[in-house]
Amino acid sequence: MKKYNILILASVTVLFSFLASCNKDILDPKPTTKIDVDKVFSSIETITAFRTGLYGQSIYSNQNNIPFLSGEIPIFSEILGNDIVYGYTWYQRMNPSYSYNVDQTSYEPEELWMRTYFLTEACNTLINAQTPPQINENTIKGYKAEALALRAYTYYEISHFFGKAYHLDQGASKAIPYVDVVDYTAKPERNSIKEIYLKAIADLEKAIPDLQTKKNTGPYFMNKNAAYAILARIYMDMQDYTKARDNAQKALIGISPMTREQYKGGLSNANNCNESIFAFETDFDTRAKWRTFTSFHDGWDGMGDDLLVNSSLVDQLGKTDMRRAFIIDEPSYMYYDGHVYNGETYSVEELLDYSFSFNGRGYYKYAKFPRKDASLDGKFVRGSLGYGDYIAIRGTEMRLLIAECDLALGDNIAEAQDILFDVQKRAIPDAVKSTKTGNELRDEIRLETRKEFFAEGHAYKFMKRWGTGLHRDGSHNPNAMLSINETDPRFVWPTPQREKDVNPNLLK
Amino acid sequence: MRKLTLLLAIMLFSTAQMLAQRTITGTVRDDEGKTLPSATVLVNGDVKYAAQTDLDGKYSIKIPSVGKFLRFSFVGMKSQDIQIGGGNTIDVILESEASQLEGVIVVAYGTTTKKSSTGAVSVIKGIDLVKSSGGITSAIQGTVPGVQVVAGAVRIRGYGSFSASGEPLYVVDGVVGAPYPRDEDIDAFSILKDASSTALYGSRAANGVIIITTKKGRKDMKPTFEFKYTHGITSIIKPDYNYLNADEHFRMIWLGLKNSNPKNATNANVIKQLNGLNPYNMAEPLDANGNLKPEARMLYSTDWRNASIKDGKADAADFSVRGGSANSLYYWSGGYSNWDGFTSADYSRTYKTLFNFSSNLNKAIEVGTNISLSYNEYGSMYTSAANENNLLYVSRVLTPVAPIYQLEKVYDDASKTTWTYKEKLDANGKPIWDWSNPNYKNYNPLAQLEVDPRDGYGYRQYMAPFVNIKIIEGLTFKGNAALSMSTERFRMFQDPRYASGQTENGLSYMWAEHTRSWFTSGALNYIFKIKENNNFNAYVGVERDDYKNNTIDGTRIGYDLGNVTTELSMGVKPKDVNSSTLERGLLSYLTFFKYNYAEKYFLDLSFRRDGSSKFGANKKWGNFWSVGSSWLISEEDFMRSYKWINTLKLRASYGVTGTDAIASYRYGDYYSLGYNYNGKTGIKHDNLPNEDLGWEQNNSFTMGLDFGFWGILQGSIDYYNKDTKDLLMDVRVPYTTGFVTKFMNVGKMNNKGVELLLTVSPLRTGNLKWTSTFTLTHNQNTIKALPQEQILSGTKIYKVGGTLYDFYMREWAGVNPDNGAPLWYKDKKDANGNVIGKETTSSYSDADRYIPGRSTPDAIISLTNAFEYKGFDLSFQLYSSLGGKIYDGEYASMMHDGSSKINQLPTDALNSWKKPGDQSDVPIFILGNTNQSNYLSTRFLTDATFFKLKNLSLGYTLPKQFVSKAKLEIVRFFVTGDNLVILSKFKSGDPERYISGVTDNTSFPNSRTVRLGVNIKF
Repeated sequence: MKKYNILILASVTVLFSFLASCNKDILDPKPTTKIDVDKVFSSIETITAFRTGLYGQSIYSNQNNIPFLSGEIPIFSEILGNDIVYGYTWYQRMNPSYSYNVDQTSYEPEELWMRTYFLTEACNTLINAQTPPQINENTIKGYKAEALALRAYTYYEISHFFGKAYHLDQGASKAIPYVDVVDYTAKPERNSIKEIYLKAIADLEKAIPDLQTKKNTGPYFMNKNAAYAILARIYMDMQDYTKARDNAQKALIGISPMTREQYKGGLSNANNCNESIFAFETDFDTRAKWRTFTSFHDGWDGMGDDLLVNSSLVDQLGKTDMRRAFIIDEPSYMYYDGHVYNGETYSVEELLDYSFSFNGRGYYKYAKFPRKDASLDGKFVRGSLGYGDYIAIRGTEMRLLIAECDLALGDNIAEAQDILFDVQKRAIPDAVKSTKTGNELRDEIRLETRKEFFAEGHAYKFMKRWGTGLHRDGSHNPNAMLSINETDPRFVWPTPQREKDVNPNLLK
Repeated sequence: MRKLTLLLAIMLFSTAQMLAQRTITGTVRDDEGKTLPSATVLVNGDVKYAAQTDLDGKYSIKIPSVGKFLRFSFVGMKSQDIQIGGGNTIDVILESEASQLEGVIVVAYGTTTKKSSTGAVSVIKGIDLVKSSGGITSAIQGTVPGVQVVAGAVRIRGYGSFSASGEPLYVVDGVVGAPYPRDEDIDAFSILKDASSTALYGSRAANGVIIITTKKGRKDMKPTFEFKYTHGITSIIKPDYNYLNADEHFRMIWLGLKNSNPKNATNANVIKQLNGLNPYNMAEPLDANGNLKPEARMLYSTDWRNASIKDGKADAADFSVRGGSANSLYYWSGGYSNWDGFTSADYSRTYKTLFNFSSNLNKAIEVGTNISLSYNEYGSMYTSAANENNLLYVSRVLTPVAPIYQLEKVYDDASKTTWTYKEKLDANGKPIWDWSNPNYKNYNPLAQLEVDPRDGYGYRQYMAPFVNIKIIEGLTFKGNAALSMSTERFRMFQDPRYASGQTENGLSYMWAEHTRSWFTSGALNYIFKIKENNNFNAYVGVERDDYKNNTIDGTRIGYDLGNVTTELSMGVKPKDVNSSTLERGLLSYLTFFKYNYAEKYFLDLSFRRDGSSKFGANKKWGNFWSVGSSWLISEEDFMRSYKWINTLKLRASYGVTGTDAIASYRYGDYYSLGYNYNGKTGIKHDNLPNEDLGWEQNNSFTMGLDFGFWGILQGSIDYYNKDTKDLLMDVRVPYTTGFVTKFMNVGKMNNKGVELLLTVSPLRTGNLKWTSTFTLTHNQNTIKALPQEQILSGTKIYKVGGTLYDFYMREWAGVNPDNGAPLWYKDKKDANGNVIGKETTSSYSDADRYIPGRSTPDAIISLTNAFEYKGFDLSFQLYSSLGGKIYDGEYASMMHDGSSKINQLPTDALNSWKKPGDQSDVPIFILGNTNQSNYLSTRFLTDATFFKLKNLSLGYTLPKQFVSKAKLEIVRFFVTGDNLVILSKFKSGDPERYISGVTDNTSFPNSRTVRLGVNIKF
């Protein structure tokens, strides 16, 4: 019996120690859907994936998020203006910004603030990355230049929401921190608008030598033309018309104007638009279809019924203006199917002559941003919801900017008139060349800019640059029928409370 | 009491003898199979004919001619009546009552008795569990002091964590993560509350532990069969708020138009708002003042909510057999349950079987296994978020003017000025779904339930073999291995013709998951004595827990044929395919040491060292321990003179436990996939790494007193004080870092509380028995330290000195009688910026936020009464949660005051402000208003105090003399009801929805269940 006991005891001990010793590997499992930090900057493939991720983040959306650079920035910019009417459907999330009721706890400033730094952290990481020597230096330089320019673009665009218009105090007022280092413990202070602009200019100038032209990269990646265009925008805000014009001209090198035929097909395919300088592509397979830029302009079953065109702008579009055909009346809502109206298919030209009654709520504008795989002519094909590019910078903006500079500098009024006429006659076959000068010509150029760019995401930027304030009219919601001057504090979104709570330096 | 009975019995025994006709003998045992000495046996329940069992539990009794049945009774056991049949032997097993200090209870890594336990442990028997339809969590609610249960969520002794789960650890037959058995398979379960009882579960024990023990066979037990069938009906306690009908809603829209601009208030404009829908018999139903014209009639009105939600029903059939020989024990059961939920798309059918077997190979070695298999099919409506796909939400939003089925006009005469509607029918004569509602284009929640299936199935296999080896007397080894494997598949389809599916011409999504969990353990246990009174128990063990989960999912689009088949192969093109793997592991070493002197003084020590895959390299291993002691005062000699004191035990414990209830991979530095662009792979920095991420640590102290007086009153009172530090929290970092949070151990929290249990049994013997149990739970939660001054989290604020559940919102100040504008409060400040009071503002953004209360109750009380009379048993539980608030987010989203335009409204909206001077608490109704009147504020915050009749159970057991003729042992019919009566200020039924106290249209309101059933044992 004793032997028997010992035998059992021995086997028990063996079993026991087996269990106890050999299994420590279970304490260190690695996730299979993520990549370990050590691998990221070790090969050209992963670095390229990281660079691709910068754009991927810019357009990333899901059930709850609108894409950042290709969604939130242009959409907020429009609903803060006069030419787009917001707030008639269930998607009420942006109501506070539309009615200028944003406070430091509102969703809008916190959301934009947050996503700015998601993206710029990635830019900063790439800019500061140490890469192994065997990797092609020029490729890395190019990627870092893209990151620099994308960072500048992001801070410049976002600064309009959080800062005063530059010309009001020569950029002295504070907006947001221009974070350009990787420091996960930093609590930065806010930079002034002037500092932001100067840092952005420095970033862009540093990037330009290493950037490819749009001709080489295509419109979907940051490129030299885009960097010049951003510089032109910044200098325009700073009212440095010489530099603004100079950079706008550089931005247009190799960029021919979009044709009338291209325009008719809408602005959802940057590759089919000669003048696209920088655009964000949406991959229809993986993106949340409801929240893309295209979806927000898609009255059929996207979010397009949230953003309608104001009647006061539509009233200024002549009957023969092709851009009028981008717009369809709200009461036809229930029948509306792109260019299908009451079951019949109409061409853009036919729609020009179709008279719609206006009921006071605004107009749909699907045809300006149709789905990328839609067909508007011949057999109507609706296409895939939410699938379309967002063209962030296109040549006409630069051309109209040059015209404004010509006028402001007073050295080339004829060019200003020519540019205006070029833009007009593409949309309006019977356009007549303007003979106006001075403020009258300026106002005409600005009106043309509004007609040309409505819903494209620049309204707030133009409004602040032009110093017009906001004087809403037309079909706006009565609660948002605002009239506020450009010095009104409501033009500056507050630093989010949430951010102040964790970074007291922002109170400075 | 026992002595008195004995004396009485002996005195009367001689009388009985004289009348005796024949003699019956037998043995009386308890439910553990141990013989019971001194049990009383009475003929016909009459003390005139009495006998008592001897030391071996044997009895012998002469039966008089009037003898019909024998009543067996023993203190702490349920008495049993057995029909006197033809035989001369009757053996019985008496089931124990939940007496206070008797009986074996299952605790961490073993068993003990209540008498020798040093911890705060509550035990619920399986028989009490099945009285309620809500399973374990419902059985705990109110019966176990110190525990808060809200709609299935369990919090033991307060709240632990910011970001980790607060749920207790569930252990089934010694295995963490083993499948939950069916209620009928549960023998008992123990709720371990203090460190002394939980510390052996170390890193997972901080929220308390619930140990479930399944039924096993018994030694020398003939096969005993049990069959149970129940049929239940469930209904939502209060269907919903009252809503406007089509006429009221039409006129409300008219009012909303008028309030935005009087010239807009026309019939045509209202109809335009409603997408052309008109519920009346004429085109101009309203006059210039918005009143219904006398000749206008409302022809239909849709009650979407009622049409969507129906009563549910549940049927369950359970069967089991248990028994054993001298060397082997077995228990085998099977069950089927069928549940039809509150919509046609919600259902579940479950098949389960359990087989517990053990056998002694020889005197030293016992082997056995627990095996369970289950299969489940289910359908489940989408409720994850309040959006157009969520029927709970949509049915509250759709205008009653929108019809369910398509309607066509039938004109009354040639003038076509008036009409009626009739339903359009398809070729088969069936009504056709209508998709024209103006709230959500192409959505019809009722139709979607039919055309968009959302269902799945899964099965689970579980096998846990074990071996017990007796090495020498008192020293045993136990080896255990448990393998659990489960597979699940889920599908979701969106019809090409309607709703979301329309945009992609139909979409099918499939998801499959495979989980494998592998648990092994080995332990040595040594029980020994030194001299007479020094009793020891030492234990040392090791455990390994290894978990792996794989998922794969795919989506295809383009389903021209609708849901003829929803297989992915049917879709025209692929849309999205994903897969993932998740792993985690836990390695543990544990030991405990128990000592008692003369069964009066008890000391328990325990220690566990856990290594977890969830934590950073610097904190992978953690140590947990406890010290517990108790003193059984009533066993002291000096207490003998206090006859009225039956039991008195003082216990105290202190220990350290942890929480690891977080997701895997939270500490590492990773880059996530999925940020693709231009057809290329894109990656993004995923999180801020933290190699110091470790356990949340709980240091808890408990002091308790267990008592029993006068033979009828029992109870316990506990005080606890838990300090939690290194709380797991997604700590906010500045967004400027590029991240939202860093997962860290921060802050401190304290929970302290008192819990009281009182059981009175005024009638313990005789035909009528009555037991009454009262429980009280009070917990005070306090945040002691935070990484920043205050943290806002949804509707809540965390502040030092506050609680984890403090609401933080703007304070509603009513409606301005002059213009109907909503008003809130803001601080009134003097010239220096000092707050000198409050004033009102009509700007939401201008208003200040305050802490108007918290969601958790001040106290929870419960009173349970149980009666038995002859064959009848009746019990009912009254339950009340006192204090606390609930924010009714669902009501807030509905009381939109026009901001959600033509969305449905509760009838309260009819009271909206109409003209200057009106005193109303509902602001002016303006279509498309942007005044933020229904944004988060105290307007929708109400007192959450409630009182409910939580459970009522009535049973009748047929007399033995009837059932024994059919060779049956027990036949019991029963009816139970849950949540039968609820009293509260909350408008939508039961305020007991979430611990956070916020309703959000993501779950069905609580239900009332009535069940009928029969239980047969033979």
